[in-house]
Amino acid sequence: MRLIRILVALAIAALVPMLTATAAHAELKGPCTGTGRILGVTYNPKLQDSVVIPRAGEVHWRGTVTDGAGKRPINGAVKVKLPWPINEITLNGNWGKTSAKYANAGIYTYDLPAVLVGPKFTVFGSHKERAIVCTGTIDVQLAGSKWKNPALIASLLFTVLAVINISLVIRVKDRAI
Amino acid sequence: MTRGRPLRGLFGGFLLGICVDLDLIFGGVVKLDSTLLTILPVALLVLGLLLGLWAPLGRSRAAKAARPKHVLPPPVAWPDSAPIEGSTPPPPFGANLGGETPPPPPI
Repeated sequence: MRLIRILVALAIAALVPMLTATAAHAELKGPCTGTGRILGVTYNPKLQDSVVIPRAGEVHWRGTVTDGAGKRPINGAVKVKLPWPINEITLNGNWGKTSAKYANAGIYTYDLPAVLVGPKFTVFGSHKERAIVCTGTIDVQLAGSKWKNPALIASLLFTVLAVINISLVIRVKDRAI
Repeated sequence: MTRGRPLRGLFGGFLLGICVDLDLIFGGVVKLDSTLLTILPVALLVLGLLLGLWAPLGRSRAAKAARPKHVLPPPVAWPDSAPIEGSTPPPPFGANLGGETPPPPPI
């Protein structure tokens, strides 16, 4: 019994710091720039750590590579980071071809469901060419009340059921005499 | 002898871990790529197994129920009117009426 108590105490001691750990800062490494403008608001990973964006809108995106000249093979993608074992999913944005452009811009229209309001996504982008490697991350959250998210309400209800289940499971068995 | 439910504790802990993970994600408490989301179900799985083995709830009640009840009742004094060894037993009920039916009880 003493061993079990020690193990429980260790588990709690290990989990509490992880729960209170601070989030990593957004960043943009390499000789590149990248910005997005939604409803007149400009978002820049060099200036902002985390952003709250509308659930639906148009992103006026722009990216540049400050060094280099001529046609060369390029490769890159925009991804959302997820926990193991999924790790990451690629969003609607990857490129892998030859190009003579050193700057590009466009408009990306999106409309996300209400169940995605609340979670904090880490959006990760990378661009590679010759000796240049640019990477950038930024934390993104959708605007809106998370309490209107049906997935959160459902998950809280399931948690209550799971706690009741555990409290029944850890009761000692009734033994016949 | 196992007194708890380790297998149910294992699955119950894992289920609780998944539910707490979803709460943390949809509540925006941790980022979606947090390592905690991977560790928590595994940690609660182990915790559920250990708590299932230990079964700390209801131990005193179970101990009382398991206690054998072969304790004798307290002794009482032998009544004076009761027959003793070697005495004549009392006649059976109605034997002194000479075979007549006893009168009905008063209403």
